[in-house]
Amino acid sequence: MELLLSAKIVLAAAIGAALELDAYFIGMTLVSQPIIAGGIAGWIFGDFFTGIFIGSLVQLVWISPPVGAYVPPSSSAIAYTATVLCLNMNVLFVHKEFDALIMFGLVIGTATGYFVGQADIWNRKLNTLILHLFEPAILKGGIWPVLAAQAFALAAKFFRDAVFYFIVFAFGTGIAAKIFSSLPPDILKGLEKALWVMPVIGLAVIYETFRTRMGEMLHIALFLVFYLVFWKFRHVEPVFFMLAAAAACGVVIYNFVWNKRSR
Amino acid sequence: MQTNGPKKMISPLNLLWSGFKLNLLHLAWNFERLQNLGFYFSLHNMLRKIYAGRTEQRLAATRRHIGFFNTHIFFSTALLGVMVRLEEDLSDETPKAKEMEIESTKMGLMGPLAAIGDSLFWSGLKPFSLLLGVGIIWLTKFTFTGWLAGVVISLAFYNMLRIVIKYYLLFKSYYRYRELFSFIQKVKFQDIMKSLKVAGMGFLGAFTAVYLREKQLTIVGLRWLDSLVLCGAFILVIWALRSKKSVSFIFGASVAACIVLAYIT
Repeated sequence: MELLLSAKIVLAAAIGAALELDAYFIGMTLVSQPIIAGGIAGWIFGDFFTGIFIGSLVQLVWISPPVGAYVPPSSSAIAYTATVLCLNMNVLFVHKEFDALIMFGLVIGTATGYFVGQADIWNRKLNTLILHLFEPAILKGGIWPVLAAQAFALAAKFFRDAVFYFIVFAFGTGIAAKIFSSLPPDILKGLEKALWVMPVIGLAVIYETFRTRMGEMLHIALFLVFYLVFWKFRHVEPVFFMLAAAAACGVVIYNFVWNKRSR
Repeated sequence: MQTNGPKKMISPLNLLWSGFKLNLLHLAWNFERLQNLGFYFSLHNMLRKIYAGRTEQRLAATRRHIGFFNTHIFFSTALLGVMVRLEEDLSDETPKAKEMEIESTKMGLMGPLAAIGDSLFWSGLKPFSLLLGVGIIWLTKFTFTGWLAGVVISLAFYNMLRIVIKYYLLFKSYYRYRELFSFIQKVKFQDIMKSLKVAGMGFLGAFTAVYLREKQLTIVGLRWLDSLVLCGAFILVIWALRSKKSVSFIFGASVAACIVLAYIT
């Protein structure tokens, strides 16, 4: 079994664990989101483009909020793991089928994301034990037992994720690379096609997340207008695009949502 | 309910510090009392100030606030402000009545604030901010500058609103806590949510147009046929989502379907 051990792997494991804290436990400022996690992983391993690409795909697909008591996979872990594995597998075994490699990385990343999400349940159970341990001292009124309980909870979450990421990156990369190398060409072709489908899944998820009747009409209108504009002019100027889309949305919202109420 | 004599003022700095500590509300989240430790941690410095020199009352307050607590993280500042005002204002001469008043207010506010926060942030602001970010990244073809712009705009949009809402509620609830309910009722959350959803759909339509125009579609090799296949896949995924299939299931099914297609073709 090939062990991939380097300072970058240790750094990646630590940064990944730190990012996971923002996902739910500290702040929830969106710093841990896939578009950032993927970019950071790509930066660590020298391929920013792939990291951003994977992060964007994962962000699109896993953008909607979880429903009820369902514990979703950690989208941050999916993007981060997929990027790290993909880039390290590409270094170990240089592949022509890079699209298939990205998709394979995403499949493993999804499994990792599920594990991280489920492992958060274990941390919450551990926090219940921590609460019972420190509660008698907390009820005496001091701040230090509270700080200690919080520190224990933080350390448990961080070290769990750091160790898990380290194991996956150090040991998992070699195993994954061997599996990928042994896949028949038809499966590689299928993985390439699946990567093409991923943005479609993401667009559909967002459509369902934001769907309203008025929104659907605006969606179709802007789709047709921009499709024709880009068919005619071929080039996208991002600033113009954003301003035009924002203006169109603003006009519709002002007239049909807010102004409608005040009539 | 009797209130205490001269009001002990908690300073704005105390409030800001406690509000900042609410970033750790979820850190020690547990299955028994949920966010209790995080909330008590944020409240602790103010309880010390309110009950300075009155240990018994401070310990009673500790027992009150180490109990069950669960609400939306960014709307928890509203509860923080109200709890601090009640602890300050309500008389300690009738401790049982004070306890009941504080407990019933807490229980009455937690649920509605959680519901508002969940729809506004998790179903509205968060996916919208991230859609903006991803859209900019895709438009700029995954360059570093584009990524930076997308991330900055996404984070700025979301976090500015988050911080404004959070601290506005904190100060409003502390200084004008009797007006909190009527203030929340006046805010048109439904219109705000509708605006976010409509804007999201608008931006999505524009981004989809760009994606279709620029994507090198190579399923069949003919642009119009590949576009049809793309539309078909889109409709299929929408149908699966409306049939309550999880995104991960759809992801796995798509991979499997593509592999089967590759074997067939």
